Amino acid sequence: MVDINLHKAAEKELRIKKSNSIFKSSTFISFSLLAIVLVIYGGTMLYQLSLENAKAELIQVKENELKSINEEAVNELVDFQERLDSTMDNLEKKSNPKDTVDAIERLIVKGVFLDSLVQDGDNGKIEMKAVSDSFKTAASQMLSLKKSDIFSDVRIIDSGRDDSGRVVFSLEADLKK
Amino acid sequence: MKIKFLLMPSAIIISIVIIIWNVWPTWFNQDLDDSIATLKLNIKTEQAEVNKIKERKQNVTKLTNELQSDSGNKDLVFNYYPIIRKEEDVINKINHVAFGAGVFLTEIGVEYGKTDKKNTLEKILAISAKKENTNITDAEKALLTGTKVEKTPSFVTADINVYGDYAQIKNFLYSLYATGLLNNVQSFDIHKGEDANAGEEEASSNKLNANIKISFGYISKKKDKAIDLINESLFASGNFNFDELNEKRDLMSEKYPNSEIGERGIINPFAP
Repeated sequence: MVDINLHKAAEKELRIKKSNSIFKSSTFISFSLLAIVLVIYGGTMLYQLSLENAKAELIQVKENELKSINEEAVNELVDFQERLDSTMDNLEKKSNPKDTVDAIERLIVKGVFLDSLVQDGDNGKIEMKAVSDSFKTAASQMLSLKKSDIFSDVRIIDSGRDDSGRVVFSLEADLKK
Repeated sequence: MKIKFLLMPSAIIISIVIIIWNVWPTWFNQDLDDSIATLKLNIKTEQAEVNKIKERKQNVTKLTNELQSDSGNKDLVFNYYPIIRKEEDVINKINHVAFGAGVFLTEIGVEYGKTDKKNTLEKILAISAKKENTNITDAEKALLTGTKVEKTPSFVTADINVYGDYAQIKNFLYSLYATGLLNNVQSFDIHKGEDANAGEEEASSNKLNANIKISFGYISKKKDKAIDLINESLFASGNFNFDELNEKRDLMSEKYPNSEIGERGIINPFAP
């Protein structure tokens, strides 16, 4: 009697069937995967394109908005604002000559009389030529200017006596900013 | 059968390659100009700019209405800082100031000045040079067709000689400062002196001579492209700020009349 192993044959058949189904399912999965990736790729491209179009559209809208600005009105307004700013700047920065004159009035020492007072705004300094009865008074005048809060670097330019014996001296000082 | 074995790994590799080389960078690489992340950012920026321009256009309308409804401030500013050179008004106002202060006006010399490195606007007119507007984006610059020319202020300088006593000259100096025109006293020189026409008695009194150098500014109207100007900080709001103007209104208001032509026409122009 021939001994046939029916169990092994059935097992082999089952394995072949199983492997066939795996092959079939792996093909399906592979194509599905590729399809999904291609859909994602296509979707990405379409979305990118739509965003590019949206951007181009916005740029066009912006250009149109910019072109529709009333140029005359904008110029008028900016001109007015700049004029106003410059005006305020000027009123804040320009020096009032009266301030210097008032300061000199306050700081002049008794016994000293001015011959001339010059303010040079370009270089920010004052020059004064004065007459006094003595060198001591001239020195006091110099000290008075040095102790003030509006002048700095007080310098004596010249000092001496005139024909009538009075002391004549010239001082120079920088105006504090 | 062997090919079928390769199908799955190949599909996976192709998928990974497509995702890593294309899909991922297209979505997330911000270094790429056309990536979705960059485009979204650009769209957001562009949208913000469009909204900003729309808002600024509305502010232009509001500001224009404000200026038109209250022309007093506009007139005040334009009178103080005029569009054109008005040396006739300068001379007329100096004459009125001198008359008011009681000094004797002996000379007015007018020079048409120009700025240079030494004589800057800061020194001559006491105003700062305008800063360059750096708010314009590249996209806006690309729309520019002409070259922007910045207007600079011009000025006339008056060299004035007056004769009077100390109080009169002091009064004259202050009145000049507050003439109601954009000006700056550059220098003054007050010294003891004699009036050539005065008698001996008057010459020996406390009369003084004064030489004053004062500049008056003006600037022509702006004429730039709207795109150059729309980013100015002015258009960020719909109102002008007149607080400072109201504080300094007194110094700006005109106290002296402008010059007038008066009667014209004479048969012999050489007849006294």
